[in-house]
Amino acid sequence: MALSEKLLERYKRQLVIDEIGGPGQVRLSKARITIIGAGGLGSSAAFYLTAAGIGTITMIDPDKVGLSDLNRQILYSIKDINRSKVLSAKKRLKTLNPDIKIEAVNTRIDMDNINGLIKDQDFIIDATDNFKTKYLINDACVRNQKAFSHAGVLRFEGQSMTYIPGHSCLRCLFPEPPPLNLSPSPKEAGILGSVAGMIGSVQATEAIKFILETGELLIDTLLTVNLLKMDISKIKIRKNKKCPACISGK
Amino acid sequence: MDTISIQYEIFGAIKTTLPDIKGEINIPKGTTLKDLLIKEADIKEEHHKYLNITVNGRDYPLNKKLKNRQRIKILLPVGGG
Repeated sequence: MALSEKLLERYKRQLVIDEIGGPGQVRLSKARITIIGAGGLGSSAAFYLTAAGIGTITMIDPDKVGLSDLNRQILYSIKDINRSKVLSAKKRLKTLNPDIKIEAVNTRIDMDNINGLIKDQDFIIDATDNFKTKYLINDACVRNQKAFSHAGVLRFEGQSMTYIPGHSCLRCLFPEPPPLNLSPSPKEAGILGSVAGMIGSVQATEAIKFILETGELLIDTLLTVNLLKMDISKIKIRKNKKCPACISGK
Repeated sequence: MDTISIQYEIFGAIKTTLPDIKGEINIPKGTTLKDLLIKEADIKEEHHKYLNITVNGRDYPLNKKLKNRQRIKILLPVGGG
């Protein structure tokens, strides 16, 4: 498959990167990536994946845009308040890149629908805002042998790791989600928009590297950032032989 | 009282009385990892199972005494998006 003159011009700045080039761009154009959560992480990840020319991006979120979302959810504007996040996101992303397919799924993921929603995807991005859904995504991806990027943000802090089958998952590191009285909720503690933007960009980059089969992914590694202290670390994770998700996913 | 010095780092939004996200503190000789979490960090025992803790990069039994100059990392996931 050859890229048209228009697409050669559009992706000029990334086509010259050795790890991408024409064949890499074609790979990206055939990729299917699902972003679960169209909030702070999802906005940033979706923007860069759209700009990079991922062939099909599916965004899943049941919520509507609220005024308090606008400090970090850069896909939306005042006009979108009270409108569906995924439909607003689709409209915005289409203005950035009309040559790719954006699918909007206005639903809440749960045990009953998650397997079907991730089944045909090459890579999943967990951009959700609560532990319950993060662990649901982790368990479903391990069970279905799907690569995914996990991330979370709070205040000035962010974390991200990438799962690929056979390696450590979120439950290998943290077997159970913490209770609210140990870790404050985003509503209580807040999120700085630029931190969500940075970590969402990390997730988009992990997805692109996975599709291109290039670079070093955050496999068996937790990236932690504290932008208040400008402290960035990579922590090695060992696969947990007693991990309930990995055991039941075999 | 004899004391030892340990270095610690905290990753994730843990509610704790430790003064900063990283530092060095003096603790009584004979302090176990569990004592450190409860007495110095004010993290209740019922919450220890939610943490990922390493000492000098390795797993460490909660009831084992800490040694001078050990490096402790305490991790908790962050859940916002």
